[in-house]
Amino acid sequence: MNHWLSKIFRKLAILALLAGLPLFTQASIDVYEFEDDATREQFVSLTKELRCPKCQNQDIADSNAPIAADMRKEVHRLLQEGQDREEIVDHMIERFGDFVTYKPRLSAETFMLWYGPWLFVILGLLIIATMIRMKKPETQSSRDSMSAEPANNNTQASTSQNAKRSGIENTYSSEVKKLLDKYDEKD
Amino acid sequence: MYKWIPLIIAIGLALVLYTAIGKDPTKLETARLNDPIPAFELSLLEADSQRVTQDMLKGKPMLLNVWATWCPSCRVEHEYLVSLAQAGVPIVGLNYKDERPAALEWLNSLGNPYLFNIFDPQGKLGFDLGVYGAPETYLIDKDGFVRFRHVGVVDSKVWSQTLEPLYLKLLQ
Repeated sequence: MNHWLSKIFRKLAILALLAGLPLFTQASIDVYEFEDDATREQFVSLTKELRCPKCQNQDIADSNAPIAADMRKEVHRLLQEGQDREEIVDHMIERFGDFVTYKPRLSAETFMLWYGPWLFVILGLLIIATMIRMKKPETQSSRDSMSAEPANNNTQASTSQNAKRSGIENTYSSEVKKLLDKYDEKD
Repeated sequence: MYKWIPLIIAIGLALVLYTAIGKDPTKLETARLNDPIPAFELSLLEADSQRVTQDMLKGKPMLLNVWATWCPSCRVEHEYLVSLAQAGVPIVGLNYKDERPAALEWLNSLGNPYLFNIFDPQGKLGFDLGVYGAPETYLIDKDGFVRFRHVGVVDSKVWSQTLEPLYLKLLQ
């Protein structure tokens, strides 16, 4: 009986310890006070946008490195001074370089970061466009006959041959189209 | 002709990726490069009452070594700094986020390679310089401009391959 009670007591003690655990983990988080909610939100978003120089790939809100703590303190101090977001980010870049922000400002060095993807999209489109243009002459006739639709007949099919062909297309299968294409190419 | 496009893209990509090989991503650019040492007013480690400003880092090329007693790598490079100072290289210490008694005890027991030490317990000058981890060693020209920064331990290899050539150039 006594043994059974002590077992329960031990379990309760462990539970109590576990419940207290979050208190210890929060001890390292520093506390800042703000005049209003807008400033607090700016602090939160700025510390998430600024990158810790020591423990790379962590923002300074997330990092426990001493330098990250210093930077949080500095962000808070500058916000209290009434500096705006851009001034604070510039303040950090001045000291730690472009690395320090996850949203690098636009400069000669960061130009490719911002516009590189668009340049590649444009380049890709240009390549596709030239490929299509260079392919066109070989298959000109087949493309014309494939795209001939009944609705366009009146304007497009001016010759009697074209009119006849589109009429056939409406009723016959793709086999017929292929034959017609061959016929066209021979012309 | 189009069958070459993937090959050209692959070669381009390989060149881009190749340039990054061997680069240490933990070594950041020096934001203060070619800028003057930021203005500061701190006290001497050796004497609390004596003020130090950026003007005391002018006059001749010198090294500014950021150190602290809590920094194990600083202990590693200390001996080499002592030998550099004995060879006549002027080194100024920036005692970074440290405690005065511990720092003085360190200099007493391990030797003092520094002309003088700037005492920066809050890390204020360190922050303005962009120090993100001791030890760091700055090469400053005679006008007080930052000409180079080395992050990490200074040893004979770093000195002879990197710092010394730049230092000799500044001397001319």
